[in-house]
Amino acid sequence: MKQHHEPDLSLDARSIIDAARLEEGPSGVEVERLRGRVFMHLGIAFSAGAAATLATATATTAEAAVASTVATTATAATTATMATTVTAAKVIATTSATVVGAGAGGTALSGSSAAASVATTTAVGFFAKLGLGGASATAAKLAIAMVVVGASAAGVVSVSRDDASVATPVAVTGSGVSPSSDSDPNRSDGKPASSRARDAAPSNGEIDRGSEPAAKAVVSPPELSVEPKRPDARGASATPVAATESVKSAQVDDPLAEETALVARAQSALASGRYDEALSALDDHQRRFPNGVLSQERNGARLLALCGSGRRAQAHDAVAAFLAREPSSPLASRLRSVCAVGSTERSGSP
Amino acid sequence: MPAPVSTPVPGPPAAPAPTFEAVYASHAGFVLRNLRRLGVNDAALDDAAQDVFVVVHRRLPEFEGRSAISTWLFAIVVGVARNQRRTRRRRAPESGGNEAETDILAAAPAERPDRRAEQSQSIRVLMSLLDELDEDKREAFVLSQLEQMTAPEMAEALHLNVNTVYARIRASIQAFEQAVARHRARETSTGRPQ
Repeated sequence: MKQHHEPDLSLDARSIIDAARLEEGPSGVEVERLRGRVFMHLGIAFSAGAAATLATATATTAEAAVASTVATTATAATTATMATTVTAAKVIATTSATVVGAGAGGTALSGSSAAASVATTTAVGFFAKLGLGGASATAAKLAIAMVVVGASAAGVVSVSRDDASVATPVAVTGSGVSPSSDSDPNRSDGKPASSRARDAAPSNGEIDRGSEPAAKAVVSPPELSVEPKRPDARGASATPVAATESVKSAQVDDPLAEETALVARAQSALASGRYDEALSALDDHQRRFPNGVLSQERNGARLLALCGSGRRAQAHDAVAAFLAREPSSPLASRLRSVCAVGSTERSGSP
Repeated sequence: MPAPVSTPVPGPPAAPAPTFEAVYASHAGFVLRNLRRLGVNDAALDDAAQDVFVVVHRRLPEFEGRSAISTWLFAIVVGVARNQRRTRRRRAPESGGNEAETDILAAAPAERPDRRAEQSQSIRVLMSLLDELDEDKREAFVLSQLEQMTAPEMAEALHLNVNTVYARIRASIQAFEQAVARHRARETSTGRPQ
């Protein structure tokens, strides 16, 4: 290398930089919020992986996987928030089964099984961490986010869209020049559940390999998790069976849990096509938590319910606005497919 | 720095990589900070950071430890930031040249007051100065002066040859100094520190 001599920054410039760096952050809150969001996204990968497992394995295996997820999380969970998480996990797992059972093209997820196992490990780690850290807001939010994203057939589709949207930066950085190669089928690392979902059926070998570590990952964390010693262990008695109950009991004094429960109710109604019930739960939520942590989820869910129940025209403008505002939200991809608002008609609406 | 992974991992990945969780724990701040420095505004920061980590999650098995994890991450951060800026430009074509500045100073997302409050005066000054640099210079400046990366590391992160990197560093420092000078001039003319 040549000995280039770089000019030094002036003292003035340097002092500006140093002053800013002292305060640059980010704050712990930001990092935790991001953690929740990132996990929420990986939660999709998790549910997609669960779908793959369920699709090819026997129903018994599926049950076992669901049960172990729930049990593990329950063990780690002593707070009401964590109990909520249990429900979320359960809903996702169950719904994934439905998705695949319905033959929604979700069977071809074999390639992402490795990703799924990683995601699962990560997932449990996150849960444990969040539980210990008491970052209940984040935990609750991501739990409900998992429901939001995972709790319907479109969950699988949304994986694909999100991965595709992220693929562009990869292409840019990976090759330096080549423009977006979203459709590149050879990304061996890619784990875009999407492309796999679109592709053919998986080979059994891959599935076995994938589902096995995933199950292990789910089971092992209890040893890892330090016992949370939070005194307000409202959900401490939460067992897999009681998970749903504990969400209700959590409503008593924790507004966040209540908020979560409301949106979860809406989501499960939405997932099973009871749109009016979903809308009424969302109305409740809007009344009680107009600026709640889950406002974005509520808005997205409402639009999904409207579109799902055939009121697309009514929802159209709001969907367009939502997509403009939150183009890469995990909900956005579902909205695009359910409400048939494509990126092509990114209208000039605000 | 990544945790050294010495335990042999059974399975296909040839080179052991740090776990995703470990990378998140050690580098979440790095990612957020540098996205912001590269001009991703507050409203888009979470989305951009999420994109970075989704890419990290997907590509981590490929990470071979040939470079520092921060260099590897920076390549992703830079790509996401560029992409994000492009998206924003497409969405707000009317905002003309000082678009970035407008974003930073005026387009504060009302729903995130915590973040606005967090942004101190000194950070706003730095960001507004960085906003005056074009994309290439901004990247070069952030990597060399704020992250204090070496030119060879930058070459790797930016997919450039080293000589180009040196040239960009020089140009970026010059541009930044000019921005500082303009900033000082504005300060004295308005009589208030801004």
